Amino acid sequence: MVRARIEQNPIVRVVVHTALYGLKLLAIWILLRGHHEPGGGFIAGLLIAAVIAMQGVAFGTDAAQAIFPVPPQYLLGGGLLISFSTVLGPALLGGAFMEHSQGVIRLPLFGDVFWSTAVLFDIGVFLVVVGTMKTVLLTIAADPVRGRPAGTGEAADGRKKEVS
Amino acid sequence: MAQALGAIALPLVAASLMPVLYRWLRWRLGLAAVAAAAATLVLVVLTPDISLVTPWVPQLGIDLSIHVDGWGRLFALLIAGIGTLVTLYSIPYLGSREDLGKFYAYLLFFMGAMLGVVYAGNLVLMYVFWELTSISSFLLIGFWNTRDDAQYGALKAIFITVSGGLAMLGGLVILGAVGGTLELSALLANRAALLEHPLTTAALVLMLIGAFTKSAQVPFHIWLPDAMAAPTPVSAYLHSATMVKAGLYLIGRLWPIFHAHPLWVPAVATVGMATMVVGSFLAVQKTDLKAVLALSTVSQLGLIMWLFGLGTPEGAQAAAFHLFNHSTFKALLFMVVGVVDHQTGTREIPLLSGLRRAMPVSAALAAVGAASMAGVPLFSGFLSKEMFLTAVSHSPLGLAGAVVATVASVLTTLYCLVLGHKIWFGEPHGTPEVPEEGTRTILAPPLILAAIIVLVGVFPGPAEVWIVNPAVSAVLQGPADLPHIALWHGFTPAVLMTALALGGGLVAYRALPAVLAAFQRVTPQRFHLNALFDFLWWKDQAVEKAARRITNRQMTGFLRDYFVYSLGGLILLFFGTMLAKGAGIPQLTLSRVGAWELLLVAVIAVGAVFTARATTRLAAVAAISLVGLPLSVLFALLRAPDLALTQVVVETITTVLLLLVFPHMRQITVYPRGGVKRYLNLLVATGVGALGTVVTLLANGARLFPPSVAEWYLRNSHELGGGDNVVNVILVDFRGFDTMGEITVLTVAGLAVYMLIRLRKQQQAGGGKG
Repeated sequence: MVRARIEQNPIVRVVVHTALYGLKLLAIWILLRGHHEPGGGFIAGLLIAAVIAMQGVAFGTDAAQAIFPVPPQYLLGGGLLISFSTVLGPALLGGAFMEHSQGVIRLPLFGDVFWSTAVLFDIGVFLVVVGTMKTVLLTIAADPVRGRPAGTGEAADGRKKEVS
Repeated sequence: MAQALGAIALPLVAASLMPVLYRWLRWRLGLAAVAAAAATLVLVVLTPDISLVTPWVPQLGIDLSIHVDGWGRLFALLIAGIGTLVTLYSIPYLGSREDLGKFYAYLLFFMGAMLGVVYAGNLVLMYVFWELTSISSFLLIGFWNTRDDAQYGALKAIFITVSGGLAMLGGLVILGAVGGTLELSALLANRAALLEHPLTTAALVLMLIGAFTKSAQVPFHIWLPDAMAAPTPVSAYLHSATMVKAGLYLIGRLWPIFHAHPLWVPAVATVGMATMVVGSFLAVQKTDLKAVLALSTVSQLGLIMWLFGLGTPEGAQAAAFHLFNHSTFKALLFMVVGVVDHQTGTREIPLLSGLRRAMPVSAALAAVGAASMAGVPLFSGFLSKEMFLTAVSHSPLGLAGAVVATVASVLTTLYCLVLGHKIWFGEPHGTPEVPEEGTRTILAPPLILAAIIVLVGVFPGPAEVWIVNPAVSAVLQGPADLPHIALWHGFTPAVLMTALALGGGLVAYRALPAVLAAFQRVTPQRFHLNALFDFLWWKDQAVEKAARRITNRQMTGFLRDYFVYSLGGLILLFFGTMLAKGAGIPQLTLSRVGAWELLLVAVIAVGAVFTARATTRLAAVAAISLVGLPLSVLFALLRAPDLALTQVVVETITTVLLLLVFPHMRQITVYPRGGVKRYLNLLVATGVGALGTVVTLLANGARLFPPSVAEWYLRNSHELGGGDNVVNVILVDFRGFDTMGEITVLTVAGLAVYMLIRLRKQQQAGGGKG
């Protein structure tokens, strides 16, 4: 199988292994800077998904599972919960629906740090994107191919499906 | 206000707690349910007349408004009062073997929903609660969900009542559009103007269908006998005392608006009359005690409907009073039948005889209920039945109406004698279980109802002053000169009719076998409404078969075909609208196109052509990257770094995903040259390209929001959104609501992929085909 051959390719493995940490950091950086500079939760989530896909291609699905080692359903649920709470929270506290607040906080080592509930919303988006992509990629990758081996084009799918 | 909201909320909250409490309380859960129901009853009693509006969706005129008046209170008292008694009764009835958590959750859920119907002051809110009662009724009829008759009864009930509910929704919307408001009190205040609008007739017809289906009127009555598959407490509560009265509630609400409509009297009175006759005619022939009660409920609901259909204040008063009486005596009779079933193991009338020796208290209770239903003096049913006969004899139908009412009453007397006499007297013969009197707990609730029946029958004053007349004046929307409810009005035609009905019933009872044989001969055995229902939805499933045929024709299993449907539709809609409205492309403000842009576009075009011409999937993926990657460069050139970044990442992941999926797919089917499909696909593809281009040009030329949306975002991003990255501020703030929807869709899509693939694996593991 194609996948099996790629997994044994040392060049792919080394490249992926080296790029992994940089890409993860890049994703988090893009996530947090999104409010003022190019970036945001959606792109960051997709980057992590790309990392998961690369890891899966190079080292197999078990290694890909370990990238964001939280079960996808928690990522999905948690992401939605965080996003929705920043939307509903202000309404419950007497503000407008989805009213974001922001400000600057002085932290000991970092100096002045900008914060915004919009970033929290974006983190929710990030988690949902990672959760969805991880679910889709890993379930499809783990699905055994039926019929003959891939590449011969004779796999048994694509028949007319009857609704019953 | 707090009481009314509490009365709706308390049962609903209690319902949600029931399954949890069941783990600790086990069989004692019933006591908690009784406590919740009794507390609701207290709240209902304490609720004053109010009208209150809390905005919900003000743009559409849909508000969470509460409207409590005498008419709603009559129902609320029945819902909470009989609900409490039924809950109490169900403790010994169900024992400890059933899934009580589920049962009481459904029952209290129904109670809250039903109170919502009668307290709702907004038509849409009422519709929501109305459908919730249908759903809880479905769950309760199907409570023993492994039994075939329960499944059949539950599905039949929900098919018919929800279809009617949809018709009613249509009527409500029309009424709201005509009246300019969905608020009940505003519509009632404005009723004179409503009646003149031509669309009012359509609204009336649709809402009547809703009321008739819910209240099991001919020809929609067929669901009620099958609903008897529910446990008997449910039958007593939903399918005789409360839920089936929701249609009558609606009729009473509509009465002030529509009773002067030319269609009102013919439609409502005719249907009510037909239902009363058909119901009593069929009830007499049944041998299952619960079936007799179900059809007698149909008949009695028809009687009340007929009274409303008369369109007179006198009729409305009789209707309200009989509605109250029917709820008490019918709930009582159901409870007694439940005891008989419980103690003897059967409900078949031919198997039951002489039970009064073993079960004297039950016999006395059944006698009270049957006497009230037949209209014997000194029982509550006598008073309202006589008012019914009086009102009917005053109607324009005159003598003919009186004759029909008397004949139906003779039949009523007949089945009342079966219920109150036949099974209790005579020689006892063997039943599946040796009969024995029910316990005190199971007899207490029917005993309370019997006491109410006798008290109201002898001293109707309090019920008249506190319950019936406030309800009637709410229906009439104003004070009216109502006749006083009394035991004796002198020798009126009604006295003669009552005597005829009772006497005729007694005579027919003497010759019962002969009467039944005669009835059976004239009842159609093959062509009836149940056969029609079964043909459409059950045994022959005509509707389902037709739907499947259409689906299979359209669902070919080829993604390409689905694209042709949806995109083809989009193209037709879009260009059709443009042609119809005579729209053109407005003045454009374009920037200059550079050499780099032209080069990239050329590469993209080449990539697109290669993708379309690829004969293997791998080649197609490689070619489509030639479309996507230059596009991201184009974004970067046009100074949209966010888009460029996203495009690159999406491109990468898509490629990986496609490679993962390919082993599961067979080779691309290449349509033969010159084939119809090939040209059709080409046409749709070109159309989509044209559509995209035109939309872009239109968006460029449109100046709907001066000076421009983009500029507004650029100016306000920092100040209102607190961010400098405009794209992101739009995503999380300005259009954040869209993003919220999108991530929800994303989640659902992810879960769907997971479930579909897992399901396929399970099917394969189970040896089935994929």
